[in-house]
Amino acid sequence: MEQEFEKEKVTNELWGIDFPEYFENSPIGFYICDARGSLTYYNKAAAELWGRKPVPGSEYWSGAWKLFYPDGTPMPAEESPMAAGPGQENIKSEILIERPDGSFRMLLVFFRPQLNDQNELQARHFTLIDISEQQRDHVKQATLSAIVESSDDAIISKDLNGIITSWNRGAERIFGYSEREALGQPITILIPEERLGEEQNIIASIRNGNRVKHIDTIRLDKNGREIPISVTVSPIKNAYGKIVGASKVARDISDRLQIVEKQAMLSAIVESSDDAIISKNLEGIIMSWNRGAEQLFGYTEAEIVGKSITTLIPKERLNEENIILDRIRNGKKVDHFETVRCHKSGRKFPVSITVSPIRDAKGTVVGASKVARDISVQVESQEAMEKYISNLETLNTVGKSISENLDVQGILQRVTDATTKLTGAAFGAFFYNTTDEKGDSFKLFTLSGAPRETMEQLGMPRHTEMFIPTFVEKKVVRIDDIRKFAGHGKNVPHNGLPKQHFEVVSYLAVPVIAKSGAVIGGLLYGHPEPDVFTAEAELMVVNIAAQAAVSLDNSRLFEQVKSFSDKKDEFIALASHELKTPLTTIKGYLQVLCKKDNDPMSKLFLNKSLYQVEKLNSLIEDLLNMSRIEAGRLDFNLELFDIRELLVEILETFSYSATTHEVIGNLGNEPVLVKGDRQRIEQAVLNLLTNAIKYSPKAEKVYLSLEVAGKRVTVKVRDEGMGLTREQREQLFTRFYRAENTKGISGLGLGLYLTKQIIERHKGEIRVNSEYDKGSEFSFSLPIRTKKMKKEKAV
Amino acid sequence: MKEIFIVEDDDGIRDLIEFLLVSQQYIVKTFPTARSFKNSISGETPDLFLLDIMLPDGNGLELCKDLKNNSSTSNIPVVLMSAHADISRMEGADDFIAKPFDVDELLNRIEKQLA
Repeated sequence: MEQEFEKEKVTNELWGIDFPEYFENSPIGFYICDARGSLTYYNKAAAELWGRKPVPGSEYWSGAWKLFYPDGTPMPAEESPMAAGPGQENIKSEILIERPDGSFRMLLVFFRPQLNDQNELQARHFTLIDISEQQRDHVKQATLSAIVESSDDAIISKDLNGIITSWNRGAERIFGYSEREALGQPITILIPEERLGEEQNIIASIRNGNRVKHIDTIRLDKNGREIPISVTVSPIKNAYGKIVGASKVARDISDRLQIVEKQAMLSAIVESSDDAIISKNLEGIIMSWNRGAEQLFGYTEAEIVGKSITTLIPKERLNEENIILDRIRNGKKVDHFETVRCHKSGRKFPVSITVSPIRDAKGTVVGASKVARDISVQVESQEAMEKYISNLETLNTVGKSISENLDVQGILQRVTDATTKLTGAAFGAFFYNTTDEKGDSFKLFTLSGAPRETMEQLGMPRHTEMFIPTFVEKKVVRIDDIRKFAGHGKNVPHNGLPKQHFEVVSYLAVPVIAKSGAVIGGLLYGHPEPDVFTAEAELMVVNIAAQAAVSLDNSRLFEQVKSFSDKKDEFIALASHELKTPLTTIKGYLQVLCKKDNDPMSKLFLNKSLYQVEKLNSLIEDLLNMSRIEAGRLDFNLELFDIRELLVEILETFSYSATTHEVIGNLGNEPVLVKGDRQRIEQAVLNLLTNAIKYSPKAEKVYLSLEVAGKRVTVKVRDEGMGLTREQREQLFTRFYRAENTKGISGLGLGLYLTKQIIERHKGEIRVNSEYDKGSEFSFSLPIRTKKMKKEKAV
Repeated sequence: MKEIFIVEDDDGIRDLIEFLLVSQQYIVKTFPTARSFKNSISGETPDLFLLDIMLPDGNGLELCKDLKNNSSTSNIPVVLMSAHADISRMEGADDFIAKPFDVDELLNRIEKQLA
């Protein structure tokens, strides 16, 4: 009631105002059109808005230069809301106008019709309000909210009570709540319980008008999953500067954290690596240093970072660093480079290093990372391997030489020399395990590293405590320091070593055991320094000793076989002698009888017997010669003689004794000198002639010829007998060979063998030409000597 | 009458040679061993020695050597006999006869040495 009264009072007061003047000067644009729409009145403000002053009565509906709908489409005046019919009063419309100066204004147009008593439209009153500014703000806000909406970050606002007042799409994406779900909820729905305190601090900070920048924290999404975020919270102030809430920008930093975690992991790996991992810049200054480096080089990180990498490099290898840095500058890697580096203590050790260039984000090489690994163990094992290989080679060489060698002295000398060298002994010796009248003793056989006399002065070692293990118990004895050995001083090593020669401190003894289990002997090594013989050396000697034992066994076997062979030759020699003795008596008496008995029948029989005696004698002679040849003991009485003369003699005697065949000679007239054993050559020719007759039973002739060609003379014996096959020709000259088809023809198969041996011993050559069933021709050639030589000899 | 000393261990050969030489009117003394020969010949000098090389208790070559080294016998011809045909050392012997020998050859050689 009181308000109503107040209003009436004010209205009454208003009526005292000069209205036309009031409208004219109002800051609000105002104009009137008559019932037909013709513009009849406008005030100053309207003219200002339009940017022009139209002539009243000449324009309809509006005084604006051009009209548009708010979306920019041109609006004909008669279609404008101002031209709308009755009943549209109090309608407000937004109209965009263009002013003659080209500027635009957004106007809010109010329309109020003036009606008469009959309710007929008398005039139209329009009020214009410039809303261009508001419009602009609106656009700005729309832009802002579009930005907010499209942001990947969650942008949330809340009031001071912590209630969410806005929620963008980013927030929806990160936290999972839709805008509808989130609005009105307390911000604490996003905060893990244990972090609620954080929010209090943020709010407190905000109330004080401070921003909270980039705190990395954890928030929960709708599903309760923890999300790592980085948050910036800013106060929201109202128009008066009063803080009314807070805006919160949250960024999901899972990705970033992953990178960080990865880096952390990498650095943990670097840190925990056993390899030294070092980085340096292109000037060679150490930039980082891990624990592995600390262990490998002895320097702590604090000590070495900032120092030159050359601190670690031995002087003689400094140029290596230049080479490495050159490669690095060119972006190249250095892979597994094996070299030597220095420890803090100055000790040098082998390392394998890999150096890689470090590049910045632009790809420029800014330094190098270096991974170094201690390869002492590898180097040692490689050296050990090399040594092992070299030892194996020695073993192989020794093994080969001892297995090739059948001579005992040779084997043992080689073994002693090689093992003495291999073990590093000052001297080494092999003692035979022999037995003499006084009991067991050891006979020095070979010695290496010391003159034999020095050792022989010692006398041979006896069964002392020191040697029993080796020679009796078949054990290897290796003593690093004999002075500490219990048995020392009693009778060690034996008889007392002469002091001026060699003192034994390191001692190694290895038995050489035969296959039978008997100790053949022992290899003994000594050195005046302690700890000389290694387990490895021991093993090598044991191996060699085993090989030597095998070879010695073989050698003994060989000696045995050889002695059997010698015995065989001895036997044949003896047997032939014993056989010839009764033969001598038989032949003698037969000859005596032959002379005395004149009965033709008796004479014939006695002659046949004598022929058989001769045959028997020549067989025995062949056997004897064969064994002599085998033993290399066939002696030759070399002399110059005329071989033609010899052949003539043979022809004469042979023609006389050969009754079945005629021997045809073609020997020329000139003497032909050769150097040789006349008797042996005679034997060879006789063998060939005998064979020619023997193997041509159906023929009647054999031929003996002599041919001179250049410096050689050739003797040929030809028959017209059964001949030889190729296979027979090949085997003809081998010992005890007898052709298949010669059954019924007597012989030991030694004749041609002996003939060949005789001819070859005279630097001659024996050949055979033969055609099966046609006959054979055997020939041998000898070098001719000149008369001049004979004369010299004769003088 | 020439005298010949024979050293030959084989009875058969010894008897044969003795028979042959006696038939040729030689005076023959035979010895089966080196020892019996050495023991018996002191002071005696035959006209020829016929020595077998392989003897059970010695060697004809050694005997020959001794004889040739002894001034009282050094001029007496020595003929060696052996079933081993080749003899590289003769130890000063005057001839060598290989066994089995030809009867006539043996007699010829001896005769030749005594001529």
